[in-house]
Amino acid sequence: MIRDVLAKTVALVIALVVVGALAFASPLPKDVRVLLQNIEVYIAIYGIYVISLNLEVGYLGLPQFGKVMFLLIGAIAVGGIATKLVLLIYQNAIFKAMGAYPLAKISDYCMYYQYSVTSLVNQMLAQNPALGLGYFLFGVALAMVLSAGLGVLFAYPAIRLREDYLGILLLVSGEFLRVVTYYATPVACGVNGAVIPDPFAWALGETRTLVYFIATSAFLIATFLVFDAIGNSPFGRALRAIRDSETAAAVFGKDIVKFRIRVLAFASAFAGLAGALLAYYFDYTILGTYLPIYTFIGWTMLILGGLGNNVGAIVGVVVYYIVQTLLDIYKNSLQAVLHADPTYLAYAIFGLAIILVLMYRPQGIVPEKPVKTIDLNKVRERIQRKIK
Amino acid sequence: MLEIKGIVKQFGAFRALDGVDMTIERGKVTLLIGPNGSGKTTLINVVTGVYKPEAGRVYFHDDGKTLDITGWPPHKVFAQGIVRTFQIPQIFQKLTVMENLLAVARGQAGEGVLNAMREGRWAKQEEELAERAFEILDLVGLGDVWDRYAYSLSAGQMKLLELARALMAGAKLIILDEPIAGIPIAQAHAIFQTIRDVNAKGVTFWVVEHRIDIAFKYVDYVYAMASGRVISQGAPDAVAKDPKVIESYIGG
Repeated sequence: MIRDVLAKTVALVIALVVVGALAFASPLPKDVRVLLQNIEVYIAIYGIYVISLNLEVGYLGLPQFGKVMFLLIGAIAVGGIATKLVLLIYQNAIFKAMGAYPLAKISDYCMYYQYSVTSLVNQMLAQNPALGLGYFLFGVALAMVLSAGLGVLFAYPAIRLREDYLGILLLVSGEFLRVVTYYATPVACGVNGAVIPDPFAWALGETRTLVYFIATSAFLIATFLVFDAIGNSPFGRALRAIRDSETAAAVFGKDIVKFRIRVLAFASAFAGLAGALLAYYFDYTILGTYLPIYTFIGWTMLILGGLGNNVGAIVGVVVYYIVQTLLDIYKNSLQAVLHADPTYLAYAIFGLAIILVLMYRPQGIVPEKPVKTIDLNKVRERIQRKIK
Repeated sequence: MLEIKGIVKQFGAFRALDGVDMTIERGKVTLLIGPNGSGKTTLINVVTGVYKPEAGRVYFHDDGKTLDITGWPPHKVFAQGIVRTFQIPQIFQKLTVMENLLAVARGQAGEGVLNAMREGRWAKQEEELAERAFEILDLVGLGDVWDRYAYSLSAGQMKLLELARALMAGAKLIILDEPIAGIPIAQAHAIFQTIRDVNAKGVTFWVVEHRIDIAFKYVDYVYAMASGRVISQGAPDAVAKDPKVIESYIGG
């Protein structure tokens, strides 16, 4: 029911305003606020990522083991394509200042002067916020379109097969794309990593973080609204029916392949959006770092929060970042106690958490709720009155 | 309505169906009996597209047309108006009883990903479907548990849910795979009475059932299978007396 979805969305908006106020306009010490600001942007971005994963895993039961691929595609769209577009737009100015066209010899650009070129570009973008915004939206839209297309394309060979084959194919596809694009320097400067011009170059320091917080929060709210609306519709119900029994769903008229394609395209687009936001916020990307672990961090967040529930997806992200941040803060004191490097402690703790959750609370922190389309109680009462 | 010709289905070296011919008459209730492993469920799986046969054809006669539906994928068979239940209930476990029915309704506007976001496009249809679903649940005796999760039902209730779901799907031909297995006698009779009531409204039934003492009272025509072949057919009384049928049950 759209009314319920809107109520949840309003609650999300209020929560974001409150934590935003805490991080940007509260009397908390500066270092605490900076920490909060950073976490909040990450939570918003990963919130989008995990909500889209929830449609695939929680609703459809699709073993999406290649999820990180779309963070990667988002990074390619921004750091590999949108960045080059901006360089093209400013190429004459760059030529005048540096004596070379940036894209004439891409390997030299990547190795020697992308930092100086980007700082020049940022100065010009700071004078032209409208172009910056256009460049931002272009990168985001491109990431979504590419992710939707490639998500379906990579899954296609196994889309008719049993889930496990599809899961393996998706896992391999992500790794394939990562390795190939990482070693192909023209894509996004390969091992050097691509420096990304800042679309909001006019905003400095804390203002920049605030702009990103607002932008990522807006996308998170939109994503939640869209995914919770389609989740609480006959479409969402059909997905869950397929998840629970593929054979029965097919016999009752559901075209499994069609539903898989729709969900993959839709969810991948939004994961690509998360990838683009991450790349812009970071203003640097190195494609080799998009390892499968980020797929499973997404799964961890979702399993902790609650499979099949979009609120749970966000809660899972929040819990993950709280634990992760606490571990980071107390790293040194932990090291003294453990007499060992606590860097990998987070993995151990989340691994243990998943096992415990699956054993004792498989539904997660916020359990799945029945799909809410219309008020069934009302229909029930009406029918019972009719019988009497 | 349904014409099955020379169906062969092989699993490795085992020939589960060995040239089966069968006709399901429109407007009738046809029963299929046979000992365990005689190929009844396999035949249903072939007809509904779950398995593809090695040889033979399945024809569906409807609206004066004949369609060769051999090897069609399940959702296309469904689109023609053929619906089935499962011997071992294949209900949607983590959906409620009500959702199990709503999920199988035909032609839902809200099942497209773009329409899903626009409630105005499907809310009215959803209300109508919910009304029909409540009526069906009351008919089979699941009206009181409509909002329970399906996994929490008893085995007997799951069987009833299978039946209710088949009725909800608005089919022309309903294939029931052992609808009364494990159901108490009085309720089993009630289920067959429901089948007859729905049949009176023009829905054709094809029922697989072991409990022939009950089933024979309600059906028009009977096929008996053994070892992947049809060994006898005719009116219930005639098949009941056929020595080949008796032998297959005792010997099998």
